Amino acid sequence: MSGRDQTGVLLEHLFRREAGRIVAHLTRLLGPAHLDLAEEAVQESMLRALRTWPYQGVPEQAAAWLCRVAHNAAIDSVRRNRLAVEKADAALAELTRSACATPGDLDFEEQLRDDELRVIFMCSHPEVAPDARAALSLKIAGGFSVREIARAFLTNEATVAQRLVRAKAQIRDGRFTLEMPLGRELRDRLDSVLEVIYLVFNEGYAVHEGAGLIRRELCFEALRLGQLVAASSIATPRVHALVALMALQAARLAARVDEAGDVVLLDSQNRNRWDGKLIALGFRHFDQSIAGDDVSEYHVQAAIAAAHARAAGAESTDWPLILQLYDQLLGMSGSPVVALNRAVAVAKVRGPAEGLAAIEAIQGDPKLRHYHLLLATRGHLLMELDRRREAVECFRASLECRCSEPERRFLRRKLEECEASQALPAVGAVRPHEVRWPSHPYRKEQSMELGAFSISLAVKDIEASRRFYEKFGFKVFTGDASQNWLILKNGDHAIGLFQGMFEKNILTFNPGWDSNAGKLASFTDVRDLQRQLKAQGVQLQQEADESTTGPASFVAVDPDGNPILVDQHV
Amino acid sequence: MAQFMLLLHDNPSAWRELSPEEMQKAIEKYTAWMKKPFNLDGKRLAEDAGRVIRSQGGKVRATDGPYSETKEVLGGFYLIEAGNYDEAIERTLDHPHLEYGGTIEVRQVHGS
Repeated sequence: MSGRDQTGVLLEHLFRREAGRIVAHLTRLLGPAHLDLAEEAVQESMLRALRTWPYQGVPEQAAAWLCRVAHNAAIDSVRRNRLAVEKADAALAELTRSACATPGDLDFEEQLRDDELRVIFMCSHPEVAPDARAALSLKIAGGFSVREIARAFLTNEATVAQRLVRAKAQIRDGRFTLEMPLGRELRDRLDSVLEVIYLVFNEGYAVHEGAGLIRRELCFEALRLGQLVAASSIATPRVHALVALMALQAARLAARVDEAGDVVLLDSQNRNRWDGKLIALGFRHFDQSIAGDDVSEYHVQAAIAAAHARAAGAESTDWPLILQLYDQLLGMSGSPVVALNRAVAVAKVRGPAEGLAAIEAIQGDPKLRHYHLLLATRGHLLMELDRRREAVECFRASLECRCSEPERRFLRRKLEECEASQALPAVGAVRPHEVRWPSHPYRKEQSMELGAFSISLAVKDIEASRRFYEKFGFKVFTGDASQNWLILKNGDHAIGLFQGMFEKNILTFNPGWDSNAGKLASFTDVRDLQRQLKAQGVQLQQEADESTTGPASFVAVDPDGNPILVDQHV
Repeated sequence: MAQFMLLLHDNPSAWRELSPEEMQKAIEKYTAWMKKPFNLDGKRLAEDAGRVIRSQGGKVRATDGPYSETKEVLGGFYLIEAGNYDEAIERTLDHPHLEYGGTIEVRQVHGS
């Protein structure tokens, strides 16, 4: 690789990537005890580029240029610190030989990858404090600066710097080597490397404001490190599972926030904005991950991400499968956060009441006590169950918890929606279904999606009625006045005018239709609605033939004699 | 069209604060500026203090350059075209060097 294109524009992140690779390489040649020398040499080469390229342009072999200058800087510093560097002569000979190699040369590229892998494994050495491993990996192998790491992890530079200093001292004093561990030790080390990569990814994936860009880059760095391990000879199916998981989730990064930086939930995301290349990469690794018998948490999480990625739209998501996977994941990890996610799947499959019950079972967990997402999920389900007052309380409480600004805006929006719907005139009077439905078995098991709603008025003079309702902003949507019927619409509201066709005004539901008579992707069939109503003892005036499919209708009558027409046209 | 010399004085310690990613961003800004059509030439000066030759009392003497004591050093120059000083300055105002804390001295080439 030359490091630039034909017009002299540098490849994206070239400096960061090269910094990681060259530091890793020089660390092997100088020995891990002299990590600082390796880092200084690389900084020197980049500073030199910064001083000269603005005047003479980017050299054609930009990457090779950086590599060579870093080698020369390392040679100079070994000469200067000859006494401090162990086996200085041998190191010098190695450096001189390596300085002649060209990046891009296949053997040398292979060598660089191998060095980087060894350095990553060293960064996750069991003697390095767990909280320092990610920072160390990002600093050495990732080419991130202390400031960038601090920004990405939402912490201060001093904390990161201290962790790094301690970790480097451990590397020096513990006489760490870049030898790969063997056998069981290798397996354990690989696990902690994967943990570090996963941690970096999650840190980048969390929704935060301001530091957005750098956090996205954390995700892609984690993905890159994962791919590096996956491409090596020590890769196991578990490694592929982690890469699949990261790629499939990273594919959704762009769709997760809108132009205003506000949170967009999975259900409402524009799936065209999902990154097809990353999804393809994810599925490739997913296929490789199922090669053996190993089923790790990464496997199950990847399978969940894959289930979402496979769905063409939110409504075609295979929630029963996802619930099954969450059951499995919960059995493996016991994490309360997994339990919360499982509750969401429960709600999707078995209805909001059961989802709520699943949340109630875990909300006492101390780890979730001040977790805004638990309260937000609970509020959402309560709202679905029309328990608005409790939902309002939930969203209010969630706003008291620690969360990021975009999430706060999202929760505030939900709270407002909730309060607004509470302010409808019907509030105060207890609506019958509020009492009955949640306790009824069908409410849990089956949905009652009634589709578009309109009221059909029996009118004396269709023209007079039309003129009257036009004053309310309604316009003719369809129908034929000469045949004595018209459908008027104002936004989503529809009123049907019928002259001389029936005696009483009719409440009309059109299962399968949206408010514009467009077909819905999923709906409850008119015959299922009929069965559910009959099972609840509702008397029907006219029934649909349950042996048919497609268009059909039935009529029920409410206690005041108002007819309700459920008319399916699709 | 007259020619103007842009003398870029650097503050080398400021560069040390940058991460590799930030250094790359800086280079990209500089090289993009460098490609502007009115930019005729540019050269980087070697990173030393240079020498100054003076004649004192009939004796010629070379000493270390003027920058050994100061933080800012003359790092390089560009030669640009502009109608007059105002235009030269206008064309230089968006130079990234200023964003990175450097100083630019603008001098018209005599007779151009």
